Amino acid sequence: MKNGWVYVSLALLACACHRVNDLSDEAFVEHFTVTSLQPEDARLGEVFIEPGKIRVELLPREGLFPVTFRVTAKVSPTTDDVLNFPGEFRFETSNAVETFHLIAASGVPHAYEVSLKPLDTGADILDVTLPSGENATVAVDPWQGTVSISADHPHFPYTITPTITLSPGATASSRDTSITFTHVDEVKYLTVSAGDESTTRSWKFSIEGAVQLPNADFEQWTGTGTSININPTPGKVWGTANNYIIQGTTPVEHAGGMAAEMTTKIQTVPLLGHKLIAAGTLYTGYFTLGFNFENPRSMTFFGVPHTRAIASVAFDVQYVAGPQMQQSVKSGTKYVVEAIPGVDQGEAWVEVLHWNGSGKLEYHGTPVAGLTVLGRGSVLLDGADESLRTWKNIVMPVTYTDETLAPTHLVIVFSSSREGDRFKGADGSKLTVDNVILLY
Amino acid sequence: MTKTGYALLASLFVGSVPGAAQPLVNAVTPLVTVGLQVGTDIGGAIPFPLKYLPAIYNPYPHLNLSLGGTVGTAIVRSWSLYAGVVYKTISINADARVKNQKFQDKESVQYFTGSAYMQQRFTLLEMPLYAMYHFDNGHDRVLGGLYYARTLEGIFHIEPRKGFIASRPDTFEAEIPADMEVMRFDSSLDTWNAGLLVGYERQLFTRVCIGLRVSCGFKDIFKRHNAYFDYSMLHARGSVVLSYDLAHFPLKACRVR
Repeated sequence: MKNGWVYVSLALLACACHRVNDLSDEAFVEHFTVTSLQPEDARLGEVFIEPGKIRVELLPREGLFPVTFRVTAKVSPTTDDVLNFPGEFRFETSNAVETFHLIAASGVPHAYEVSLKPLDTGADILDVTLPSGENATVAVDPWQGTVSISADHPHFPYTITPTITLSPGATASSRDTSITFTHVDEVKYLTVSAGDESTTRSWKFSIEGAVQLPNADFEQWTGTGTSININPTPGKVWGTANNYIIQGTTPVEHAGGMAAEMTTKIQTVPLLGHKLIAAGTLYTGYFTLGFNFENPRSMTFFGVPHTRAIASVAFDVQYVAGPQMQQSVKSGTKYVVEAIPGVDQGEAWVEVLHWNGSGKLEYHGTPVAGLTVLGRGSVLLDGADESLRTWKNIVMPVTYTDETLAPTHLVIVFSSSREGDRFKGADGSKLTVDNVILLY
Repeated sequence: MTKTGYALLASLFVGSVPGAAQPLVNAVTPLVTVGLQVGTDIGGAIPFPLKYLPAIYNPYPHLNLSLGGTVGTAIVRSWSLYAGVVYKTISINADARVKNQKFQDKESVQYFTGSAYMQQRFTLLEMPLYAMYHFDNGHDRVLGGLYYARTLEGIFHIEPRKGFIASRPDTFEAEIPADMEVMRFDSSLDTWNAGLLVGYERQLFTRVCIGLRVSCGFKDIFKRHNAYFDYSMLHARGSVVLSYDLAHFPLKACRVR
């Protein structure tokens, strides 16, 4: 209290100087300079600063990772605070991302992702394209020096005739325009030399048949307690709706490893006091926590890139419904939970998508301009079916309604309560899933 | 019961607002005065300790008419004692820029940083009891005392408009949406309050006085055991009052019944 008048004076002064409504919503990074780098012999290129994104150019080489660096950064005068800015940026892999937030004067947060961008070695393969009609996709990894060809149903010997774009002035060791694989495990190499012959890289070409989703055996998780979540890092494939308020999807032991257990719970919305039925979910895509608890699907972003058509999805599953079916209904200004008749049902569904809209796909399970659902399949897991209380393997076929367009994304969703997004379910319903396999 | 006691008891039945205009300084015998008062209040509930005042705070006070009456009696030379009843509405809205504003409910703790719009409105039946000192010039007076207030209606809303929340201070976990729901704390407001008041009055004309008062609650506006915030919210307000001396009697007149 001894400083009370000081605080009052400062508050009055602040009142006189600033209008809350005039505070800027903008905050951005003006400069971002790397001041020290490990390994010390790593070669640094430029730093590219875009809104929400900073890419640091590094020259790829063997044994480069982990890469760590310290930076000095300057932010806009409209920035009030910088949160989660690490003292040292550390990248274990080439696709790792570090995130920090700038807080504008008004309080609006702006996320910034820091990632690495490969610097052209002068002996790089910049792009590989296949002739139209070739039922395959190509991924070039300049960090590893690899070219991965993912073919739908490759018949061996399998020959492709790609158009390869090299670094300016670079030359390739082979002038052959086609590459033939005699079997799925065969690897081909192409040596690329820089125009001044200062650098030479050996590029590895490989072919993949039936591509599986990373971490589809749900062995990899991150965090503990309220931060537990499935590890999305290997390919950024799997997501859950776990957040610091509720953790509906957790690892459980199964068959000597881990499985993903989704549990329907009653969630109390902080401060607003709503009691909402919240189903545990696991899906391909990602989750962004927001305050729209009344429309949980708005926080889920379904779909990951996948360019091959699948015939079905197989998985191991167990389902036990909670004892009492319930529904959240509005009573006055608050949602409360009421018992309703019935037995809870879990659900699994799959969609093969074609996305030709602009920008990144934002799909919440409802129609989006530029998005075509090519095929769909679903399985209902009825809590009344006692055979589901022990593990069984289920194959979920995909029925295609459009086979003219090429797949771009794949959605696989598991939910412990089928109508969870309508606040219906039974507290305690558990859906446990393991070993998801894509069948082509 | 003493004469003064009877006078105070009578004042409870009559009801009034602080600050009757009748100059009592020259009273030779104890008098009971009955006054009417109108006024307006500026203020609301503020965080205590004061270090929790938002860094940037733009208040938009609403002026509402208060009505009431007082009963006073001279007690010793230059001193008189007053009691009253005032019906008043204190209303203020504000834009505030807050940082790591803690909200705690039964199941979680959250810290909000950003811009928020706040609405407070309290309709009170305030019952002040205060002593007044009359300066020898016959026009100026100062007063000090206590008040007790019943909250007839209370509104305390916070609408976060921009910013983010997290489970720990100085971290980011989720941005609040543009259509964030208003947080309503009405049901957590307590039904009573009490505090201190001080003021100054000046006689403008015979029977008419104008006064300035400052009052500060010493009880949190929320019910006990709430833990929404790290701090208490206390009433603090300034009042401008215009009082009219309706009547004054020798004390005997009040003792008839």
